[in-house]
Amino acid sequence: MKKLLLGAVSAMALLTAGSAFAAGNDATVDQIGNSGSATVDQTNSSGDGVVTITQGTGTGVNDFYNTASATQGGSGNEATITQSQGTFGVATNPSNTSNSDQEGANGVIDVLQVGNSGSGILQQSGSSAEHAYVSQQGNGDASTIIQAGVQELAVVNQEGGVSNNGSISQSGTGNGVYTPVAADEVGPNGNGYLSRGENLPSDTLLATLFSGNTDFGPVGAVVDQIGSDNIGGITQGGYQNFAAVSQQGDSNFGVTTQNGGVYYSVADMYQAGNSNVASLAQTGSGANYSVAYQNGNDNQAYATQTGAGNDVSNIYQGFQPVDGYTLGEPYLAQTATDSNDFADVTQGNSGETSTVNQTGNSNQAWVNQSAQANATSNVIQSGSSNWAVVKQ
Amino acid sequence: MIRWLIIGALTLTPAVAGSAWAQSAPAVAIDQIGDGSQAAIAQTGDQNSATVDQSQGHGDATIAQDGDGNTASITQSGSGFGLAALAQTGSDNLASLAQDGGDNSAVLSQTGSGNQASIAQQAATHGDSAVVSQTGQSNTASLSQSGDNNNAIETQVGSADSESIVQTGANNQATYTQVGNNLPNLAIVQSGGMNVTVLQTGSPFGGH
Repeated sequence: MKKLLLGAVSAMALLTAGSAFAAGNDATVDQIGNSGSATVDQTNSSGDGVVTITQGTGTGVNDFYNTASATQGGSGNEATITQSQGTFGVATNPSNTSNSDQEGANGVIDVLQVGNSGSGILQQSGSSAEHAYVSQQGNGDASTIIQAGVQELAVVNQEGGVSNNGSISQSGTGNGVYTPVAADEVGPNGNGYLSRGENLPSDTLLATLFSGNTDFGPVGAVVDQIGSDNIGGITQGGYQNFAAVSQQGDSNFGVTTQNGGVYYSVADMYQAGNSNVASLAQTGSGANYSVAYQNGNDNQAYATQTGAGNDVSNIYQGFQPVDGYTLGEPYLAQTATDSNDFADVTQGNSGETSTVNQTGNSNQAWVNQSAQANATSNVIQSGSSNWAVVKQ
Repeated sequence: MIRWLIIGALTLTPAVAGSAWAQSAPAVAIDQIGDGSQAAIAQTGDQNSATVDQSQGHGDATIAQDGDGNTASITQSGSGFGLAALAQTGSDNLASLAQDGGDNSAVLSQTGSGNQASIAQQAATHGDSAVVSQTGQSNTASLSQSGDNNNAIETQVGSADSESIVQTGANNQATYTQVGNNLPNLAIVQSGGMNVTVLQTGSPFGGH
């Protein structure tokens, strides 16, 4: 029965794929069971294609080892891939994988996976204004998004699992000089830089992405993760970059690397839990801004800025939002129990500004601004047995 | 650009300026020309440590600590024109401040007992200025200046305090004021042309 069903689905897939060579064609694939394969190729389409692949019912435990692939050419394409092994927590083995490939402009890829899944998305060079969204529930999930066009947006949301890996790589540019407004920065600094990224803890990607608290710039990358031992990584090589990594849980690792940055780059990092590591590295000829918020013990935050100057780095450790729930909200409240946090700031050009604010005991703040002059460093510590070292 | 450092208020940046740091030390204004790096550290609690190392000259460094058993250190080198302000409130604190290059200014204020303060300045073509203020008991202060045209002001209010001022060079000036009981022998050493003003009075606290 299963083979018959798969055969029928495959036939339907071929039929729809075949008809997709004309502009604006749709391809829809539904598969129930395991070890299924769905491939839709709209490479030669002139655009406006729609691909919808659904594998699994969302209620069973046998919807695994499925693979889905969508390839689209032209502009204005949409691809939606949904793979489900049923209720989160049931699946224990690596199972579903998907790959999506788009060329052109204004493409959108949505991937929703439940289980132990893998997703790969490629939006290639020459494209523009393409968006990629990945939402994964389960353990051992992996998402890789590579975008090489301009005005790209990528969002990865991994919730409720451990050992997940969300990776975003963007090498394209924005759409020109963006003029920041005061409302762009709603954090405690309010300095007008473009930044506001927050989806935690339960803003499921597909349902509330735009109704939540995420505002995006011309180029944006967002990774949200809830769980432990997760890795969230963002690499951006263009200019006007915006990156936000939010992690809730223990032993998470968030790393953002921004190169280029002709105008500016903004990197936000939010971590709630213990033994988390935040790494923010920025280069480029623009003025970079990075901020790391950590709430918990034994956290580490590293900020490195080696751009053309006038960079700003802020690190807050031992703080939580006033509502005690949503990370990234403004007006962070001070907690009194954090300890053994470590903050390290290295800034390598003139006019740099660094602020480290720590509350709790046995915390350390190290600031190195010795490469150039006209640097400003502020270290605020509340608690006992803290260390602060500033080198200019 | 002329920078002003108001010693009495120990004006920190708004983010680090706490009410505990508004000391009652004499208000002294120091102006310097230049625009270098700025560092400010504010710590509240015990057994904390703060270190600022500025090596490019024209630097401003401020450390404010409120608690016991704290350690603070500021080192400025390079072309001079450094501004350093260090304030500690509490007991058994240790503060050290070192500047070289000339045209440096240092302000060190401690309130509490058992505190130790030291300032070492090495002037180049222009002199340095230093102000040390301690309020409390059993505090110790040492101040050394080398070069010409230096100015040192040292004030202690309390009992069983001890101090030392060492100036090496020409046209230096030292002013030492001590108010309290169990006043120690003065230890002011100057070589070269100098001007010394010393004021010692009895205890304002009833004599202990």
